[in-house]
Amino acid sequence: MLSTYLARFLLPALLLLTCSQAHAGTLYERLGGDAGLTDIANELIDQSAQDPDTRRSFHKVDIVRLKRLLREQLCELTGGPCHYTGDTMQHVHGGLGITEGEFYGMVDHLRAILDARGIAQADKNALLALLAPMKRDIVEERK
Amino acid sequence: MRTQSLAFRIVVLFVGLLAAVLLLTFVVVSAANLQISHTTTAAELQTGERVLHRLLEQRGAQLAQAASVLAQDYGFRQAVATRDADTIVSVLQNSGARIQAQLLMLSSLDNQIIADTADAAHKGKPYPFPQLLNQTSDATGKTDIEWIGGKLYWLVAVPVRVPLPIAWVTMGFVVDDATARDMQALSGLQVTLLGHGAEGYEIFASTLPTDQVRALPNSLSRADMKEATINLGGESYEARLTRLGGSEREPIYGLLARARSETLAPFYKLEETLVILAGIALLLCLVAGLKIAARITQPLRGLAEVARRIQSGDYRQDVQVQDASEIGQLAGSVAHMQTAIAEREAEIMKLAYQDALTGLPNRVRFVRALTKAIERARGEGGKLTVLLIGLDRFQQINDTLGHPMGDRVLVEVGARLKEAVRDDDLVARQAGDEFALLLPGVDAADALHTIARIHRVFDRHFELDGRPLDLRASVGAAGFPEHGDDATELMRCVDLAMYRAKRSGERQALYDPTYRTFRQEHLSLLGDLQRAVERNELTVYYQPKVSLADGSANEAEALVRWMHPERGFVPPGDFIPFAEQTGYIKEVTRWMLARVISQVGAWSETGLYLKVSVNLSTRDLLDPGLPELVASLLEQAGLAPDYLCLEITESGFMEEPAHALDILRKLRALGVSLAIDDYGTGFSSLAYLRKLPITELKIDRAFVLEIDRNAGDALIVRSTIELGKRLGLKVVAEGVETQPIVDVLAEMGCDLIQGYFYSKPLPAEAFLQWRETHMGAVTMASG
Amino acid sequence: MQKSCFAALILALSGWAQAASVEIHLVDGAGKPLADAAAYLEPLGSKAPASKATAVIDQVDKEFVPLVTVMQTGTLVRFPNRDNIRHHVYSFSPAKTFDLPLYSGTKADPVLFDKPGQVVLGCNIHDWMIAYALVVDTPWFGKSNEQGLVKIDDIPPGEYTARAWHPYQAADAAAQTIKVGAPAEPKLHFQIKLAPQPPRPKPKSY
Repeated sequence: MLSTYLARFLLPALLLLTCSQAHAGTLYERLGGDAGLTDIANELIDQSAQDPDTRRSFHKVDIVRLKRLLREQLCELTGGPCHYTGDTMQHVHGGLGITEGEFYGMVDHLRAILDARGIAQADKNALLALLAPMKRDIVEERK
Repeated sequence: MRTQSLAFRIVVLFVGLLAAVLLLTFVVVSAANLQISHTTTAAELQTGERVLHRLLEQRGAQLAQAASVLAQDYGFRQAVATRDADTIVSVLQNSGARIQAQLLMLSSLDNQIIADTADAAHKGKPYPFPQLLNQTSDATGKTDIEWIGGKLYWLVAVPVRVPLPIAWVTMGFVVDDATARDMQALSGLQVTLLGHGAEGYEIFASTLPTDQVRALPNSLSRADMKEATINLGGESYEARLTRLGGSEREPIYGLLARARSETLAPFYKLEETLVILAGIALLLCLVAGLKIAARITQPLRGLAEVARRIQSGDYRQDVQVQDASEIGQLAGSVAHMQTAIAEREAEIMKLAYQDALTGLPNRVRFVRALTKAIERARGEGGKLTVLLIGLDRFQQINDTLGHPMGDRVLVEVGARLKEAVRDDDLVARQAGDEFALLLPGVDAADALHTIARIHRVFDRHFELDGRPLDLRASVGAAGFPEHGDDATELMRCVDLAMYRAKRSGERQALYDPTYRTFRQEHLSLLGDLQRAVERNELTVYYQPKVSLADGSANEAEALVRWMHPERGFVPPGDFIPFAEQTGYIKEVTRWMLARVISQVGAWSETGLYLKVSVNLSTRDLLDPGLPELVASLLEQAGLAPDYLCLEITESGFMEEPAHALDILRKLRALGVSLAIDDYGTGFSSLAYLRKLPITELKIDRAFVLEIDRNAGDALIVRSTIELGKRLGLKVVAEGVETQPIVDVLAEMGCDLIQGYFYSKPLPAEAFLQWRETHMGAVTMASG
Repeated sequence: MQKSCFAALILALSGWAQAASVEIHLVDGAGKPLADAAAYLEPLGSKAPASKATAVIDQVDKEFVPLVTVMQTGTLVRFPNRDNIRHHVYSFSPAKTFDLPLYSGTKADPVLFDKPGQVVLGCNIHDWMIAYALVVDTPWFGKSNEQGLVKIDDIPPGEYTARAWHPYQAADAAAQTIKVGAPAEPKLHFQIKLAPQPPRPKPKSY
């Protein structure tokens, strides 16, 4: 009865809704465009630079520059009209000794920020998926 | 609903109260709201000011960031460091286009323009915003709002570092209505950006409608105010002015405004809602009031109806007691009241209809019962008889044994009578010592049986505290329809019958119509008599008392004569006794006294000194005011008391000897003469006779009539005259009609003669004439 | 090479017999000892011998160390990158315009400073990093210590022009002529008035 009703009508409708939402514009737009990404980048850096678990690598860093470059990177990555002018992840993080814990700490911050901004689950996952490959270059392998 | 009704009043009170409360609430809320809206607006404006400043800060930070992006660009820095002018300008232009800065220039550390996208010719000119660079010691970019050529610019200046700063990049963005609208979106207030220069206020950007913007400079020019209410194009605003920047001479302000109509809008809405709610509340209250009023007044009206029915005698109503409320209590009380009234009425009825002493029905009840019985008998063509039983000499029993004993006797009599009659018969206590009996269906003849039974009741003597008492009764009987056809008639008949029974000594008498007429005539006579006194239908006649010694006629008896307009001459015997019985005799006597004294006084003034005597009745003798009356009449007439004589009868005196004696003494003290009239016929005692202050004795005519033929009478008369003379009294003989009697009386030594022999009673004039004639004859005879 | 080596040897020999030291005392405008000031002697009338020296300007904890380096023209400057993180050294000074990206784990080539003059170095990535280099045409130079003292040794006797320099100087200090080789070791005193420095960006530390 109710379950069949759900299966027949609600689920497809929901899916349709989320799907349609997912396909509305680029991820860049869905994350809020320039303003949105600026806020995300700023918040992410601020939080990561303050959290005791992740702030080590933000010691004596040009924060303004970092926020700008992160925004550029996210913008380009998510299909925005930007060109990332910074160095590769490998170059940037070389010698910093970023641990996996620190990396995931920052990922958690990003998740929280996206949730706080009400970003759709699908978009959040999409962004994280785009950033995931960077882990290789960021986290220093323990040799 | 009538305006006086309780329901109306309740409803009006409810609704009125509510309306008053609502009105008060409305007024208070309105006042409070206005106050609140004012305070809120002020707070909003204050907050708006802070928001504006914060917004500007944020915008500044954004612009600084955009500028620093440019300043950090490696290529640009390189160009600046190497003084590559072309590259510098091109980079500037590109950046300017990209970030949409309307103003972009590079200046040296000594404040000279190196490059300006606005105009290449500006190169080398002094940098126009040195104050921008002086702001803080912070190494980051500085921002400010500046007024340049009639427009408002956001200016941002950031240093170009290599790594030591070698130049400043200045960016400028025009502040226009769009900016103002952004601010409005965030603060919810009307935002106007303006500057005050040499020509007054200049508006750069505003969210206000155009016509109001035009009116703004005028409104502001009045004061350099911080916070005020301004009027623009008919709309009233609460406004706050805040300094944003600019120089001392040319300050730049932000004006935040909130339309009062906006702030008051929710308030008006609230008022509207309140009014609607109030209307609904009043309506509900009206309905509720009506309902409640009905709930109260309905039972009240019901009770009012009950009370009305009680008033009209219905004591059997079923009063519903609904609840324990006050109305329920009232209903309960009314129910109790109904019972109480019924009981009391029964009690009263009982009292009204019951004789308290004997427990028998009383006269009123008897009469009612009689009336009903007569109705029934009339309808059925039946008969009934009424008996009236009067106890003989009951007054004496009261006097000798006392009233308490007398009461016991009455109770016993009542009880015995009840036993003696049938169930259908009604025994009632009629009056003091009278009992009435109603015998329905019994005709007069059969009544005799009952009467006999009644007499037998009295045959048994009564026992009072061991003492036997003999009692007899006289019974009068009257029957319907022979003797009367209504209760009053019958009662009168039976009353007459009983009196006849008493007087005749037969102890029973059946009514005879002949008893009636006398009485009837008497009743009307009383009225006529009253009128007669008032209208002077009475006259005084004088009958002379002639002296046997010298034949003088200086004394007379005054007698009343009545000339009735219809009946003509009414004999005194017809009305005097009746007047005595009714007590009206006193009026007659007063009249007589007044007339006689006045007449005698008048005669004395003409030199005629006559002594006249007036008859007093028993009632007159007992009138304590009589001596005073006589005294005043004598004084009024100026007559010496010697010329007045008052006559009383023996029996009249003996009714209440002590009291009468007192009055007589007083009269005698006045100086008037007193005479005993009809002497020998009454029940006088010699003992009293001794005490009486009389001066005269009048021998009754009965004794005088045959003294010339009857030795016995003669003896009596002679001894009476002797007695009188020995007591020092004048003796008068009445009813002398013949000469022989006169001679006899003269021989016996009688003083005065009164009778037809000399004259009948005559009116005053006639009397005088007779006297003259008589005196003349006497003179001639003696001379 | 041989020639110059020989010449140097003779000079050294000739000079060695009478090689002297010069002590230079540097103070600031208030008279306090001035550290990190360069002092150098230029031979009067002749040219100083060239050298093939190396200098090191390291990146330690995201700062250039040392702040001030004095070197002879032709010195190869190595940037070791002790931080072992990404740095990007650059300079737009006319005496040496270059930029040198430094990567973690990678040794960068040294940079030849082949023109005399003042070089201001910065890092593109960390914009507060700054270093000063003074390239001089003489091997006889020194940097003052905390006490504001410079001792230059092995100076062949002769007449020299002594100059002093500090990166914060308001103006060039007047040159002084000295004679080296006299019995007494000359002591020089320079007073350099310093100008207020522009505010520097501060790195944010959490």
